[in-house]
Amino acid sequence: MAAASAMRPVLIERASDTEQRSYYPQETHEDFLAAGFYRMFVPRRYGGLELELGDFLRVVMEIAAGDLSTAWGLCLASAHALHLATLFDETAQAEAFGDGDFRCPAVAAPAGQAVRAGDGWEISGTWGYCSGAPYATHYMGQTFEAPAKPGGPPGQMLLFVVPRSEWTMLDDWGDTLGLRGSGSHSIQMERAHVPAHSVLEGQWLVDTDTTRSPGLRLHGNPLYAGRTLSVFQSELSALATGALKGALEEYESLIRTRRTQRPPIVARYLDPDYQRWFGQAIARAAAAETLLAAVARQWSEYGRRFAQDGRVFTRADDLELNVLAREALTLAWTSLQEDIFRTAGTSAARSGGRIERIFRDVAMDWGHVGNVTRDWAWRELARERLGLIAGAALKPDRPHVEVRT
Amino acid sequence: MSEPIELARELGARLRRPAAAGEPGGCCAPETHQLLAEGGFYAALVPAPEGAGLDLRDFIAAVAELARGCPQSAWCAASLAVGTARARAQFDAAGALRASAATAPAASATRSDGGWVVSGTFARCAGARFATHFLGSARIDGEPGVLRFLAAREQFELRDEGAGACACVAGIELERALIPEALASASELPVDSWSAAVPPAALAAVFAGAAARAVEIHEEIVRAEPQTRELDPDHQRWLGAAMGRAAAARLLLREAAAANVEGVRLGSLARQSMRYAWDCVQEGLGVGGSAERERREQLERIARFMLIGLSDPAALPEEWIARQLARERLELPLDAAPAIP
Repeated sequence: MAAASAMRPVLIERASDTEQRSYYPQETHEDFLAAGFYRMFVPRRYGGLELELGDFLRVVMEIAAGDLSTAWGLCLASAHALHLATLFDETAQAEAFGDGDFRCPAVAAPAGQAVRAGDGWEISGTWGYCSGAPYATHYMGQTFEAPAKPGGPPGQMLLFVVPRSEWTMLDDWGDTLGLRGSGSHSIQMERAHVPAHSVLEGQWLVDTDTTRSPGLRLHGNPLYAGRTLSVFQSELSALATGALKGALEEYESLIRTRRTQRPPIVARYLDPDYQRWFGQAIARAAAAETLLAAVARQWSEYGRRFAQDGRVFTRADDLELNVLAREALTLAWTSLQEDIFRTAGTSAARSGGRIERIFRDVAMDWGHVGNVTRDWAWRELARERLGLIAGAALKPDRPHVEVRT
Repeated sequence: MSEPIELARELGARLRRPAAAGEPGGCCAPETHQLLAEGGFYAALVPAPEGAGLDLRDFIAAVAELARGCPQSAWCAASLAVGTARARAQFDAAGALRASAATAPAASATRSDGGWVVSGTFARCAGARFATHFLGSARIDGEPGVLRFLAAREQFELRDEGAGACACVAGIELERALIPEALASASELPVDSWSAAVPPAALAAVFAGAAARAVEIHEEIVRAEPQTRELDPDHQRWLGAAMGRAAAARLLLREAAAANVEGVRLGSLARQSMRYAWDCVQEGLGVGGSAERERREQLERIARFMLIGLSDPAALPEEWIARQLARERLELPLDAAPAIP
């Protein structure tokens, strides 16, 4: 946390350059390496830190308070060590983690296709929005097994992890409204050979039943017994919450130096309306941060209870935490547009300004697929409670139709 | 688990039955009060051995359990527990004390030989009918700041709040009550750190418990035969949203208490928790139709309680809280104006 806090001034200074490059500079990458940020979720046996989810999110928030694009690239390159360590077997982990130098974007949307080849698979395709790709050592993705017959339906879904030597990064990121510096480039593979131990058959990152996963047994830490859906949303929400904290800093500086636009003409920080807007933003940021701490605490508790007495971390648990974590993103976005952007004045909307950049960046977070699925997640949570889920794992190619009759 | 928590759970379950509010021992009935008193609930926050010595996190959990049965009973009980703990801590009062409390300075105080003369009326004091004392605050004549005081039962009269008021709620009127110096404390700020934190957290706990009950009723409506609401995607979404908001209300408050957040920061988080609880109930108010009249009436009772609670002085106005948070960060003196809803 101290290292993350200390980096904030330089992250702010480099933010414009990061946007223009479409990913953070080598210097920032080296700062992250030195601070051990890429190893936060890497297991100890591979030289990692095994940080609790709550601590991971706090570091992400702190970096995001400096620059959301940078934090996005860091978070999404370092978070997926958690899933490699939870879901894949020992051989795959030893191979991918090596000495712990592991940076791995992951995209849950399947693309491309795979065919069996020798002792493994040949995978081809292009995967978009692979945040953290520029400095990545690996990629974790989803694909389908090729149809059994030409023109037939795709086969099973596969989750795979593959080293950088097997893929190329396309130069196709940076022309979006925000997050231009997040390094969310596409990754392309042409008949990449992936050994069988690095491919999980019938597995989708969005709905992971971890009761039989090897992570807990291998590492003896309930950190590696948790489900994924709530973690993904917690990351997106922590990023937005951190950005709001950065906006608060800028807003404070603004109201300390500017005067009101109408009588009484006084420094804005002495005006009751500006105090209220500023205070409301402080309140919402604190609520978002507290909610995320609650989600992380509960997520860890579910893992501990599974490890201690076998109480299963259910899909309903995961959905509830996912829904809760999303409330933090809602608070952050609401505050940014209602409290901060609406009242900061037009000068704060000039291109290149910190508030302008934060507004664009968080707008992208607000429109991320994780947030688009809010209503779906509410519905699934209700369906779990109503007993309408038949128990089959959710698959993107097969909508849930198993309702109670 | 301590006795007050078990008692709250048991009473909450008993009051949850639809007809319980009208039965002996039901909502805010003397029998309910008697059980709470005998079970030590009013001394839940008083340090052991005189009280149960619950920390705020456990107290919140107990209040929420009670509120799942009857929000009004829970608020009366929580108010008395909070007032009692504060009275004992601030004025070193001992003995069989149960204090109703009010945050807003609705009376005036004048210095007198050996103490203060206090006059004024405090509206809608929760738990007033079961209180042995009243913990209030008053504007000081001719001076800035407020006076916090503890008045004994013989020093105040109860005023009927009229139709619609809960059985244990009453106005409290003091007419030239002589408060000894030892039971009074002058302060520059109308709302101190404790008042900005603990009463709002207690009210938010009631909201969180009431929201949990609202979700149960909402679910019953969705499941009710012969309708097919449970298979309807909109009904699923509304119920899921209500579940999410109820969980947010509960967990936000619990996390804040677990992290030992204090002062106006806790008050602010309590306010956000109340907002989630209110949003949760609103998700349910749109469903059911006339065929579900009885269940809808249960939801409406919860909603009515919340509407009143949202403007309860104990919770402090959101705008006032926001301004204090800003002034704290800007290193400005806290607002000396009272928080008036």
